[in-house]
Amino acid sequence: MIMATAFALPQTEVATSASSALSVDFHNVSRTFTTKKEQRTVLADVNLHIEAGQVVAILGASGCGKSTLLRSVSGLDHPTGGAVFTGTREVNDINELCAVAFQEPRLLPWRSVRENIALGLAPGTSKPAGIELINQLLELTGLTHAADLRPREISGGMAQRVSLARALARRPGVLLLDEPFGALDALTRLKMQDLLLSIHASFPTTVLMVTHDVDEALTLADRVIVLGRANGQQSATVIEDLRLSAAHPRSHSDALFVTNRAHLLGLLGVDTANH
Amino acid sequence: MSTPTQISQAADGSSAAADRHKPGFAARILQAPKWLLSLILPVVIVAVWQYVTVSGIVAPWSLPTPGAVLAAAGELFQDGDLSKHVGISTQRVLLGFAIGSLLGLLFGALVGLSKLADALLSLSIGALRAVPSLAWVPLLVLWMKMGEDSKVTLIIIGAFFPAFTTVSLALRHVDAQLVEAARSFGFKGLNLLRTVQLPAVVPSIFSGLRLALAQAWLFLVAAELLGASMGLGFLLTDSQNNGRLDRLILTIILLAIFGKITDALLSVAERWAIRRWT
Repeated sequence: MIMATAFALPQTEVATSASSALSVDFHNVSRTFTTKKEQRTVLADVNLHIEAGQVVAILGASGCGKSTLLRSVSGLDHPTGGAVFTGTREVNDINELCAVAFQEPRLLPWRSVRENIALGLAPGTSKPAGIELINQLLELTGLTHAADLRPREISGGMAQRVSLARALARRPGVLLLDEPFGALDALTRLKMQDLLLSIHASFPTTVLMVTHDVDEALTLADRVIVLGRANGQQSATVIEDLRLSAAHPRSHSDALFVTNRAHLLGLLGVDTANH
Repeated sequence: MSTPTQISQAADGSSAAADRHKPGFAARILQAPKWLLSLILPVVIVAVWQYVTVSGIVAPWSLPTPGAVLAAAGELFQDGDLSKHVGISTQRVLLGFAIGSLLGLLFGALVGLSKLADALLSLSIGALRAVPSLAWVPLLVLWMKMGEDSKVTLIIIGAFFPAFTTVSLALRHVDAQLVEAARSFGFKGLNLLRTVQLPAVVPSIFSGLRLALAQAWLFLVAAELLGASMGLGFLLTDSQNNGRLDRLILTIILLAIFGKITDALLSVAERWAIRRWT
Protein backbone atom coordinates (compact mmCIF):
# COMPACT_ATOMS: atom_id res chain seq x y z
CA MET A 1 0.00 0.00 0.00
CA ILE A 2 2.86 2.33 0.78
CA MET A 3 4.35 1.80 -2.61
CA ALA A 4 1.12 2.36 -4.50
CA THR A 5 1.27 5.70 -6.24
CA ALA A 6 -1.55 7.66 -7.83
CA PHE A 7 0.98 9.36 -10.07
CA ALA A 8 4.73 9.22 -10.38
CA LEU A 9 6.54 11.73 -8.18
CA PRO A 10 9.87 13.14 -9.33
CA GLN A 11 11.65 11.85 -6.26
CA THR A 12 15.08 12.32 -7.71
CA GLU A 13 14.52 16.05 -8.08
CA VAL A 14 13.50 16.42 -4.45
CA ALA A 15 16.66 14.94 -3.12
CA THR A 16 17.27 17.20 -0.13
CA SER A 17 14.40 16.03 2.04
CA ALA A 18 13.44 12.69 3.46
CA SER A 19 11.54 11.07 0.67
CA SER A 20 10.83 7.80 2.43
CA ALA A 21 8.91 6.93 5.53
CA LEU A 22 10.72 6.72 8.86
CA SER A 23 10.03 4.58 11.88
CA VAL A 24 9.28 6.26 15.21
CA ASP A 25 10.43 4.91 18.56
CA PHE A 26 9.45 6.00 22.04
CA HIS A 27 11.80 4.73 24.73
CA ASN A 28 10.43 5.10 28.26
CA VAL A 29 9.07 8.52 27.43
CA SER A 30 7.68 10.56 30.29
CA ARG A 31 6.72 14.20 30.58
CA THR A 32 6.29 16.14 33.80
CA PHE A 33 5.03 19.71 33.83
CA THR A 34 6.36 21.79 36.69
CA THR A 35 4.50 24.83 37.94
CA LYS A 36 5.17 26.90 41.04
CA LYS A 37 2.50 25.01 42.94
CA GLU A 38 2.91 21.43 41.81
CA GLN A 39 4.51 18.86 39.61
CA ARG A 40 2.17 17.01 37.30
CA THR A 41 3.28 13.95 35.39
CA VAL A 42 1.15 13.68 32.27
CA LEU A 43 2.87 10.84 30.48
CA ALA A 44 4.91 8.00 31.90
CA ASP A 45 6.56 4.82 30.60
CA VAL A 46 5.52 5.20 26.99
CA ASN A 47 7.25 2.52 24.94
CA LEU A 48 6.29 2.17 21.31
CA HIS A 49 7.83 1.10 18.07
CA ILE A 50 6.02 2.43 15.03
CA GLU A 51 7.02 0.90 11.74
CA ALA A 52 7.83 3.11 8.79
CA GLY A 53 4.85 3.85 6.59
CA GLN A 54 2.15 2.98 9.11
CA VAL A 55 -0.86 5.17 9.75
CA VAL A 56 -1.22 5.31 13.51
CA ALA A 57 -4.13 6.93 15.33
CA ILE A 58 -3.65 8.07 18.92
CA LEU A 59 -6.84 8.13 20.98
CA GLY A 60 -7.40 9.21 24.54
CA ALA A 61 -9.51 11.36 26.81
CA SER A 62 -8.86 15.10 26.89
CA GLY A 63 -5.73 16.10 28.76
CA CYS A 64 -4.12 12.66 28.73
CA GLY A 65 -1.06 13.80 26.80
CA LYS A 66 -1.89 12.86 23.20
CA SER A 67 -0.70 16.20 21.82
CA THR A 68 2.29 16.17 24.15
CA LEU A 69 3.34 12.83 22.72
CA LEU A 70 3.01 14.18 19.18
CA ARG A 71 4.93 17.34 20.07
CA SER A 72 7.78 15.26 21.41
CA VAL A 73 8.23 13.80 17.93
CA SER A 74 8.23 17.22 16.23
CA GLY A 75 10.65 18.62 18.78
CA LEU A 76 8.23 21.38 19.78
CA ASP A 77 8.20 19.79 23.23
CA HIS A 78 10.80 17.68 25.01
CA PRO A 79 10.19 14.64 27.21
CA THR A 80 11.45 14.99 30.76
CA GLY A 81 12.46 11.35 30.69
CA GLY A 82 13.36 8.81 28.01
CA ALA A 83 13.99 9.49 24.34
CA VAL A 84 12.20 9.71 21.00
CA PHE A 85 13.76 8.53 17.74
CA THR A 86 12.71 9.09 14.16
CA GLY A 87 14.53 6.54 12.05
CA THR A 88 17.82 6.16 13.91
CA ARG A 89 18.08 9.80 14.95
CA GLU A 90 17.20 10.96 18.43
CA VAL A 91 14.95 14.01 18.54
CA ASN A 92 16.72 16.85 20.35
CA ASP A 93 15.71 20.08 18.65
CA ILE A 94 13.03 20.92 16.07
CA ASN A 95 12.80 17.74 14.02
CA GLU A 96 13.12 18.66 10.36
CA LEU A 97 12.32 15.11 9.25
CA CYS A 98 8.77 15.70 10.46
CA ALA A 99 5.99 18.01 9.41
CA VAL A 100 3.02 19.01 11.53
CA ALA A 101 -0.55 19.89 10.58
CA PHE A 102 -2.36 21.43 13.52
CA GLN A 103 -6.02 21.51 14.47
CA GLU A 104 -6.15 25.10 13.16
CA PRO A 105 -4.76 25.71 9.66
CA ARG A 106 -2.30 28.35 10.99
CA LEU A 107 -1.72 29.92 7.58
CA LEU A 108 0.09 33.23 7.12
CA PRO A 109 -2.71 35.65 6.18
CA TRP A 110 -0.47 37.82 4.00
CA ARG A 111 0.64 34.95 1.77
CA SER A 112 -1.30 33.25 -1.01
CA VAL A 113 -2.21 29.58 -0.80
CA ARG A 114 0.76 28.73 -3.02
CA GLU A 115 3.18 30.80 -0.92
CA ASN A 116 1.85 29.23 2.26
CA ILE A 117 2.52 25.75 0.92
CA ALA A 118 6.01 26.89 -0.09
CA LEU A 119 6.70 27.59 3.59
CA GLY A 120 6.86 23.83 4.13
CA LEU A 121 9.50 23.15 1.45
CA ALA A 122 12.63 21.61 2.89
CA PRO A 123 15.56 24.06 3.04
CA GLY A 124 17.80 23.67 0.00
CA THR A 125 14.98 22.62 -2.33
CA SER A 126 15.81 23.99 -5.77
CA LYS A 127 13.36 26.49 -7.21
CA PRO A 128 12.09 24.41 -10.13
CA ALA A 129 11.75 21.32 -7.92
CA GLY A 130 9.83 23.40 -5.37
CA ILE A 131 7.43 24.76 -7.99
CA GLU A 132 6.90 21.30 -9.41
CA LEU A 133 6.17 19.79 -5.99
CA ILE A 134 3.78 22.61 -5.03
CA ASN A 135 1.87 22.19 -8.28
CA GLN A 136 1.50 18.47 -7.57
CA LEU A 137 0.31 19.14 -4.04
CA LEU A 138 -2.18 21.75 -5.25
CA GLU A 139 -3.59 19.18 -7.63
CA LEU A 140 -3.63 16.39 -5.07
CA THR A 141 -5.52 18.53 -2.56
CA GLY A 142 -7.83 20.01 -5.21
CA LEU A 143 -6.59 23.55 -4.67
CA THR A 144 -5.18 24.41 -8.08
CA HIS A 145 -7.98 26.91 -8.76
CA ALA A 146 -7.35 28.61 -5.39
CA ALA A 147 -3.56 28.78 -5.61
CA ASP A 148 -3.37 32.56 -5.72
CA LEU A 149 -6.09 33.29 -3.16
CA ARG A 150 -5.37 34.49 0.36
CA PRO A 151 -6.35 32.39 3.41
CA ARG A 152 -9.20 34.76 4.29
CA GLU A 153 -10.73 34.15 0.88
CA ILE A 154 -11.08 30.36 1.25
CA SER A 155 -13.26 28.08 3.38
CA GLY A 156 -12.18 26.31 6.56
CA GLY A 157 -11.96 22.96 4.80
CA MET A 158 -9.79 24.42 2.05
CA ALA A 159 -7.55 26.11 4.61
CA GLN A 160 -7.07 22.78 6.34
CA ARG A 161 -6.11 21.20 2.99
CA VAL A 162 -3.55 23.98 2.49
CA SER A 163 -2.17 23.17 5.92
CA LEU A 164 -1.91 19.51 4.91
CA ALA A 165 -0.24 20.42 1.60
CA ARG A 166 2.23 22.65 3.45
CA ALA A 167 3.18 19.73 5.71
CA LEU A 168 3.59 17.42 2.70
CA ALA A 169 5.78 19.98 0.90
CA ARG A 170 8.43 19.08 3.45
CA ARG A 171 8.38 15.48 2.09
CA PRO A 172 8.36 14.42 5.74
CA GLY A 173 9.51 11.05 6.94
CA VAL A 174 6.83 11.34 9.61
CA LEU A 175 3.63 13.33 9.15
CA LEU A 176 2.19 14.52 12.47
CA LEU A 177 -1.49 15.40 12.51
CA ASP A 178 -2.83 16.99 15.70
CA GLU A 179 -6.61 16.61 15.39
CA PRO A 180 -6.39 18.00 11.87
CA PHE A 181 -10.09 17.54 11.10
CA GLY A 182 -11.39 18.32 14.58
CA ALA A 183 -12.66 21.78 13.74
CA LEU A 184 -14.36 20.83 10.46
CA ASP A 185 -18.01 20.05 9.82
CA ALA A 186 -18.98 16.37 9.56
CA LEU A 187 -19.21 16.29 5.76
CA THR A 188 -15.91 18.08 5.12
CA ARG A 189 -14.37 15.81 7.69
CA LEU A 190 -15.31 12.67 5.75
CA LYS A 191 -13.88 14.17 2.54
CA MET A 192 -10.66 15.02 4.36
CA GLN A 193 -10.37 11.45 5.61
CA ASP A 194 -10.59 10.19 2.02
CA LEU A 195 -8.02 12.78 1.01
CA LEU A 196 -5.66 11.62 3.74
CA LEU A 197 -5.85 8.03 2.48
CA SER A 198 -5.10 9.07 -1.10
CA ILE A 199 -2.27 11.31 0.11
CA HIS A 200 -0.81 8.42 2.02
CA ALA A 201 -0.97 6.35 -1.15
CA SER A 202 0.92 9.04 -3.11
CA PHE A 203 3.46 10.05 -0.48
CA PRO A 204 5.27 7.29 1.35
CA THR A 205 5.32 8.60 4.89
CA THR A 206 4.57 7.46 8.40
CA VAL A 207 1.45 9.16 9.76
CA LEU A 208 0.89 9.79 13.45
CA MET A 209 -2.48 11.36 14.08
CA VAL A 210 -4.14 12.44 17.28
CA THR A 211 -7.91 12.23 17.19
CA HIS A 212 -10.95 12.24 19.46
CA ASP A 213 -12.99 10.32 16.94
CA VAL A 214 -13.06 6.53 17.33
CA ASP A 215 -14.72 6.07 13.91
CA GLU A 216 -12.05 8.19 12.27
CA ALA A 217 -9.32 6.11 13.90
CA LEU A 218 -10.93 2.85 12.83
CA THR A 219 -11.48 4.10 9.28
CA LEU A 220 -8.01 5.42 8.64
CA ALA A 221 -5.46 3.73 10.82
CA ASP A 222 -3.33 0.60 10.50
CA ARG A 223 -2.92 0.76 14.22
CA VAL A 224 -4.81 2.46 17.05
CA ILE A 225 -3.05 3.44 20.24
CA VAL A 226 -5.08 4.44 23.27
CA LEU A 227 -3.52 6.58 25.97
CA GLY A 228 -5.13 6.50 29.38
CA ARG A 229 -4.61 6.20 33.09
CA ALA A 230 -4.36 2.65 34.35
CA ASN A 231 -6.11 1.95 37.66
CA GLY A 232 -5.18 4.52 40.27
CA GLN A 233 -2.36 6.01 38.20
CA GLN A 234 -1.98 9.78 38.01
CA SER A 235 -0.19 9.77 34.66
CA ALA A 236 -1.25 8.33 31.33
CA THR A 237 0.45 5.63 29.35
CA VAL A 238 -0.39 3.22 26.51
CA ILE A 239 -3.41 1.16 27.60
CA GLU A 240 -4.30 -0.37 24.23
CA ASP A 241 -2.41 -1.07 21.04
CA LEU A 242 -4.76 -2.34 18.38
CA ARG A 243 -3.60 -3.45 14.95
CA LEU A 244 -6.11 -3.22 12.12
CA SER A 245 -5.40 -5.15 8.97
CA ALA A 246 -8.65 -4.67 7.03
CA ALA A 247 -8.20 -3.15 3.58
CA HIS A 248 -9.53 0.29 2.67
CA PRO A 249 -12.28 1.34 2.21
CA ARG A 250 -13.63 -0.06 5.46
CA SER A 251 -17.28 -0.67 6.12
CA HIS A 252 -18.60 0.78 9.37
CA SER A 253 -21.09 -2.08 9.62
CA ASP A 254 -18.44 -4.79 9.44
CA ALA A 255 -18.63 -7.03 12.51
CA LEU A 256 -14.99 -6.48 13.50
CA PHE A 257 -15.37 -2.73 13.07
CA VAL A 258 -18.36 -2.73 15.41
CA THR A 259 -16.59 -4.87 18.00
CA ASN A 260 -13.47 -2.71 17.90
CA ARG A 261 -15.56 0.44 18.14
CA ALA A 262 -17.34 -0.82 21.27
CA HIS A 263 -14.04 -1.89 22.79
CA LEU A 264 -12.33 1.47 22.15
CA LEU A 265 -15.29 3.51 23.34
CA GLY A 266 -15.32 1.40 26.48
CA LEU A 267 -11.65 2.17 27.10
CA LEU A 268 -12.45 5.88 26.71
CA GLY A 269 -15.15 5.59 29.35
CA VAL A 270 -18.18 5.77 27.05
CA ASP A 271 -21.13 3.47 27.66
CA THR A 272 -21.60 1.84 24.26
CA ALA A 273 -25.21 0.85 24.93
CA ASN A 274 -26.19 4.42 24.07
CA HIS A 275 -24.05 4.82 20.97
CA MET B 1 -65.89 40.51 12.02
CA SER B 2 -62.31 39.66 11.60
CA THR B 3 -62.00 40.84 8.01
CA PRO B 4 -61.54 44.59 8.59
CA THR B 5 -58.84 44.00 11.16
CA GLN B 6 -56.99 41.77 8.78
CA ILE B 7 -57.19 44.34 6.02
CA SER B 8 -55.94 47.14 8.20
CA GLN B 9 -53.12 44.96 9.43
CA ALA B 10 -52.18 44.17 5.87
CA ALA B 11 -52.28 47.84 4.95
CA ASP B 12 -50.11 48.76 7.94
CA GLY B 13 -47.71 45.99 7.08
CA SER B 14 -47.28 47.10 3.48
CA SER B 15 -46.78 50.78 4.37
CA ALA B 16 -44.18 49.78 6.95
CA ALA B 17 -42.47 47.71 4.27
CA ALA B 18 -42.51 50.67 1.88
CA ASP B 19 -40.93 52.86 4.58
CA ARG B 20 -38.20 50.34 5.02
CA HIS B 21 -37.31 50.50 1.33
CA LYS B 22 -37.18 54.29 1.27
CA PRO B 23 -33.67 55.35 2.29
CA GLY B 24 -33.60 57.37 5.50
CA PHE B 25 -32.29 60.91 5.81
CA ALA B 26 -28.80 59.82 6.84
CA ALA B 27 -28.64 57.17 4.13
CA ARG B 28 -29.60 59.69 1.44
CA ILE B 29 -26.97 62.19 2.59
CA LEU B 30 -24.36 59.45 2.66
CA GLN B 31 -24.83 58.96 -1.08
CA ALA B 32 -22.88 62.18 -1.65
CA PRO B 33 -19.09 61.87 -2.02
CA LYS B 34 -17.29 61.78 1.31
CA TRP B 35 -14.98 64.71 0.57
CA LEU B 36 -18.02 66.88 -0.07
CA LEU B 37 -19.55 65.89 3.27
CA SER B 38 -16.25 66.56 5.02
CA LEU B 39 -16.21 70.11 3.68
CA ILE B 40 -19.64 71.02 5.10
CA LEU B 41 -18.44 71.78 8.63
CA PRO B 42 -15.42 73.93 7.64
CA VAL B 43 -17.61 75.95 5.26
CA VAL B 44 -20.23 76.46 7.98
CA ILE B 45 -17.55 77.57 10.45
CA VAL B 46 -16.09 80.09 8.01
CA ALA B 47 -19.58 81.38 7.20
CA VAL B 48 -20.43 81.87 10.88
CA TRP B 49 -17.01 83.43 11.44
CA GLN B 50 -17.62 85.82 8.54
CA TYR B 51 -21.08 86.71 9.87
CA VAL B 52 -20.13 87.42 13.47
CA THR B 53 -17.07 89.50 12.53
CA VAL B 54 -18.57 91.56 9.70
CA SER B 55 -21.83 92.25 11.58
CA GLY B 56 -19.89 93.52 14.59
CA ILE B 57 -21.19 90.90 17.05
CA VAL B 58 -17.55 90.14 17.84
CA ALA B 59 -15.13 93.06 17.98
CA PRO B 60 -12.35 93.04 15.33
CA TRP B 61 -9.60 93.21 17.98
CA SER B 62 -10.70 89.91 19.46
CA LEU B 63 -11.37 88.14 16.15
CA PRO B 64 -10.28 89.39 12.69
CA THR B 65 -12.45 88.63 9.66
CA PRO B 66 -11.65 85.65 7.40
CA GLY B 67 -10.71 88.19 4.73
CA ALA B 68 -8.14 89.79 7.05
CA VAL B 69 -6.57 86.38 7.74
CA LEU B 70 -6.43 85.70 4.01
CA ALA B 71 -4.85 89.10 3.44
CA ALA B 72 -2.25 88.32 6.13
CA ALA B 73 -1.46 85.10 4.29
CA GLY B 74 -1.03 86.99 1.02
CA GLU B 75 1.21 89.58 2.66
CA LEU B 76 3.41 86.96 4.32
CA PHE B 77 3.57 84.97 1.12
CA GLN B 78 4.76 87.97 -0.91
CA ASP B 79 7.48 88.76 1.60
CA GLY B 80 8.66 85.17 1.21
CA ASP B 81 8.26 84.81 4.98
CA LEU B 82 5.46 82.28 4.72
CA SER B 83 7.42 79.72 2.72
CA LYS B 84 10.43 80.30 4.98
CA HIS B 85 8.44 79.55 8.14
CA VAL B 86 6.55 76.62 6.63
CA GLY B 87 9.69 75.22 5.01
CA ILE B 88 11.83 75.23 8.13
CA SER B 89 9.03 73.76 10.27
CA THR B 90 8.34 70.99 7.77
CA GLN B 91 12.03 70.21 7.59
CA ARG B 92 12.28 69.95 11.38
CA VAL B 93 9.22 67.75 11.62
CA LEU B 94 10.29 65.39 8.85
CA LEU B 95 13.87 65.10 10.12
CA GLY B 96 12.80 64.56 13.74
CA PHE B 97 10.02 62.18 12.72
CA ALA B 98 12.33 60.11 10.49
CA ILE B 99 15.05 59.71 13.13
CA GLY B 100 12.70 59.37 16.09
CA SER B 101 10.35 56.83 14.55
CA LEU B 102 13.26 54.78 13.18
CA LEU B 103 14.84 54.62 16.64
CA GLY B 104 11.42 53.84 18.08
CA LEU B 105 10.93 50.95 15.65
CA LEU B 106 14.40 49.56 16.41
CA PHE B 107 14.05 49.71 20.18
CA GLY B 108 10.44 48.54 19.92
CA ALA B 109 11.55 45.49 17.93
CA LEU B 110 14.29 44.77 20.46
CA VAL B 111 12.00 44.99 23.48
CA GLY B 112 9.13 43.19 21.70
CA LEU B 113 11.27 40.24 20.63
CA SER B 114 13.78 39.80 23.42
CA LYS B 115 12.68 39.08 26.95
CA LEU B 116 16.11 40.17 28.14
CA ALA B 117 15.88 43.55 26.41
CA ASP B 118 12.35 43.90 27.78
CA ALA B 119 13.56 43.26 31.33
CA LEU B 120 16.52 45.62 30.96
CA LEU B 121 14.91 48.51 29.09
CA SER B 122 11.16 48.66 29.65
CA LEU B 123 11.22 50.37 33.03
CA SER B 124 13.69 53.06 31.96
CA ILE B 125 11.99 53.80 28.66
CA GLY B 126 8.61 53.92 30.41
CA ALA B 127 9.96 56.40 32.95
CA LEU B 128 11.48 58.62 30.24
CA ARG B 129 8.18 58.51 28.45
CA ALA B 130 6.44 59.85 31.54
CA VAL B 131 8.52 63.06 31.41
CA PRO B 132 6.32 65.86 29.99
CA SER B 133 7.65 67.11 26.67
CA LEU B 134 8.23 70.70 27.83
CA ALA B 135 10.47 69.50 30.67
CA TRP B 136 13.15 68.62 28.13
CA VAL B 137 13.31 72.07 26.60
CA PRO B 138 15.50 73.92 29.14
CA LEU B 139 17.95 71.02 29.24
CA LEU B 140 18.18 70.70 25.48
CA VAL B 141 18.65 74.46 25.11
CA LEU B 142 21.46 74.45 27.68
CA TRP B 143 23.17 71.50 26.01
CA MET B 144 22.67 72.35 22.37
CA LYS B 145 21.96 76.09 22.41
CA MET B 146 19.06 77.52 20.47
CA GLY B 147 19.97 76.04 17.07
CA GLU B 148 18.40 73.34 14.98
CA ASP B 149 19.84 70.48 17.04
CA SER B 150 17.83 71.20 20.14
CA LYS B 151 14.58 71.50 18.20
CA VAL B 152 15.09 68.39 16.10
CA THR B 153 16.12 66.45 19.21
CA LEU B 154 12.91 67.41 20.98
CA ILE B 155 10.91 66.21 17.96
CA ILE B 156 12.93 62.98 17.90
CA ILE B 157 11.92 62.42 21.53
CA GLY B 158 8.31 63.10 20.60
CA ALA B 159 8.24 60.72 17.63
CA PHE B 160 10.17 57.96 19.42
CA PHE B 161 7.62 56.86 22.00
CA PRO B 162 4.51 56.19 19.89
CA ALA B 163 6.58 54.16 17.40
CA PHE B 164 8.34 52.31 20.21
CA THR B 165 5.16 51.46 22.13
CA THR B 166 3.04 50.26 19.21
CA VAL B 167 5.76 48.08 17.73
CA SER B 168 6.92 46.50 20.98
CA LEU B 169 3.33 45.68 21.96
CA ALA B 170 2.43 44.37 18.49
CA LEU B 171 5.46 42.09 18.39
CA ARG B 172 4.61 40.67 21.78
CA HIS B 173 1.11 39.86 20.56
CA VAL B 174 1.97 38.17 17.26
CA ASP B 175 -0.21 35.05 17.02
CA ALA B 176 1.75 32.44 18.99
CA GLN B 177 0.19 29.65 16.92
CA LEU B 178 1.59 31.08 13.69
CA VAL B 179 5.01 31.40 15.27
CA GLU B 180 4.84 27.83 16.52
CA ALA B 181 3.78 26.53 13.10
CA ALA B 182 6.74 28.28 11.46
CA ARG B 183 9.07 26.99 14.19
CA SER B 184 7.87 23.45 13.52
CA PHE B 185 9.13 23.91 9.94
CA GLY B 186 12.55 24.89 11.26
CA PHE B 187 12.25 28.68 11.08
CA LYS B 188 14.16 30.46 13.82
CA GLY B 189 15.98 33.69 14.65
CA LEU B 190 16.21 36.22 11.83
CA ASN B 191 14.45 33.90 9.40
CA LEU B 192 11.45 33.59 11.71
CA LEU B 193 11.45 37.37 12.20
CA ARG B 194 11.50 37.98 8.45
CA THR B 195 8.90 35.35 7.61
CA VAL B 196 6.34 35.70 10.40
CA GLN B 197 6.88 38.35 13.04
CA LEU B 198 7.72 41.38 10.90
CA PRO B 199 4.97 40.88 8.30
CA ALA B 200 2.48 40.32 11.13
CA VAL B 201 3.22 43.74 12.65
CA VAL B 202 3.37 45.80 9.44
CA PRO B 203 -0.11 47.30 9.96
CA SER B 204 0.81 48.21 13.54
CA ILE B 205 4.03 49.82 12.34
CA PHE B 206 2.01 52.17 10.17
CA SER B 207 -0.43 53.11 12.91
CA GLY B 208 2.57 53.71 15.16
CA LEU B 209 4.09 55.96 12.49
CA ARG B 210 0.88 57.98 12.24
CA LEU B 211 0.85 58.56 15.99
CA ALA B 212 4.56 59.45 15.86
CA LEU B 213 3.95 62.00 13.13
CA ALA B 214 1.16 63.65 15.12
CA GLN B 215 3.49 63.81 18.13
CA ALA B 216 6.23 65.28 15.91
CA TRP B 217 4.03 68.27 14.99
CA LEU B 218 3.09 68.66 18.66
CA PHE B 219 6.70 68.76 19.77
CA LEU B 220 7.65 71.03 16.88
CA VAL B 221 5.40 73.78 18.17
CA ALA B 222 6.65 73.22 21.72
CA ALA B 223 10.24 73.59 20.50
CA GLU B 224 9.58 76.65 18.37
CA LEU B 225 7.40 78.43 20.92
CA LEU B 226 10.21 78.45 23.44
CA GLY B 227 12.99 79.85 21.34
CA ALA B 228 13.23 80.15 17.58
CA SER B 229 13.73 82.84 14.98
CA MET B 230 11.90 80.97 12.24
CA GLY B 231 9.10 78.46 11.87
CA LEU B 232 5.39 78.26 12.56
CA GLY B 233 5.85 78.16 16.33
CA PHE B 234 7.95 81.33 16.11
CA LEU B 235 5.22 82.93 13.99
CA LEU B 236 2.78 82.18 16.82
CA THR B 237 4.84 83.91 19.54
CA ASP B 238 5.86 86.72 17.20
CA SER B 239 2.24 87.40 16.28
CA GLN B 240 1.23 87.29 19.92
CA ASN B 241 3.89 89.85 20.86
CA ASN B 242 2.88 92.19 18.01
CA GLY B 243 -0.84 91.73 18.53
CA ARG B 244 -1.22 90.27 15.02
CA LEU B 245 -4.30 88.18 15.65
CA ASP B 246 -4.75 87.63 11.89
CA ARG B 247 -1.34 85.96 11.61
CA LEU B 248 -1.92 83.96 14.77
CA ILE B 249 -5.12 82.46 13.43
CA LEU B 250 -3.46 81.94 10.04
CA THR B 251 -0.69 79.92 11.72
CA ILE B 252 -3.16 77.75 13.61
CA ILE B 253 -5.00 77.03 10.36
CA LEU B 254 -1.70 76.22 8.62
CA LEU B 255 -0.74 73.80 11.39
CA ALA B 256 -4.10 72.07 11.02
CA ILE B 257 -3.72 71.85 7.24
CA PHE B 258 -0.13 70.57 7.18
CA GLY B 259 -0.73 68.15 10.04
CA LYS B 260 -3.74 66.73 8.25
CA ILE B 261 -1.98 66.48 4.88
CA THR B 262 0.99 64.54 6.24
CA ASP B 263 -1.35 62.31 8.26
CA ALA B 264 -3.48 61.63 5.17
CA LEU B 265 -0.40 60.57 3.21
CA LEU B 266 0.53 58.08 5.92
CA SER B 267 -3.03 56.81 6.20
CA VAL B 268 -2.97 55.93 2.50
CA ALA B 269 0.18 53.91 3.17
CA GLU B 270 -1.46 52.37 6.24
CA ARG B 271 -4.52 51.25 4.29
CA TRP B 272 -2.29 49.71 1.64
CA ALA B 273 -0.35 47.88 4.35
CA ILE B 274 -3.50 46.51 5.97
CA ARG B 275 -4.70 45.20 2.60
CA ARG B 276 -1.33 43.70 1.83
CA TRP B 277 -0.43 42.18 5.20
CA THR B 278 -3.68 40.91 6.71
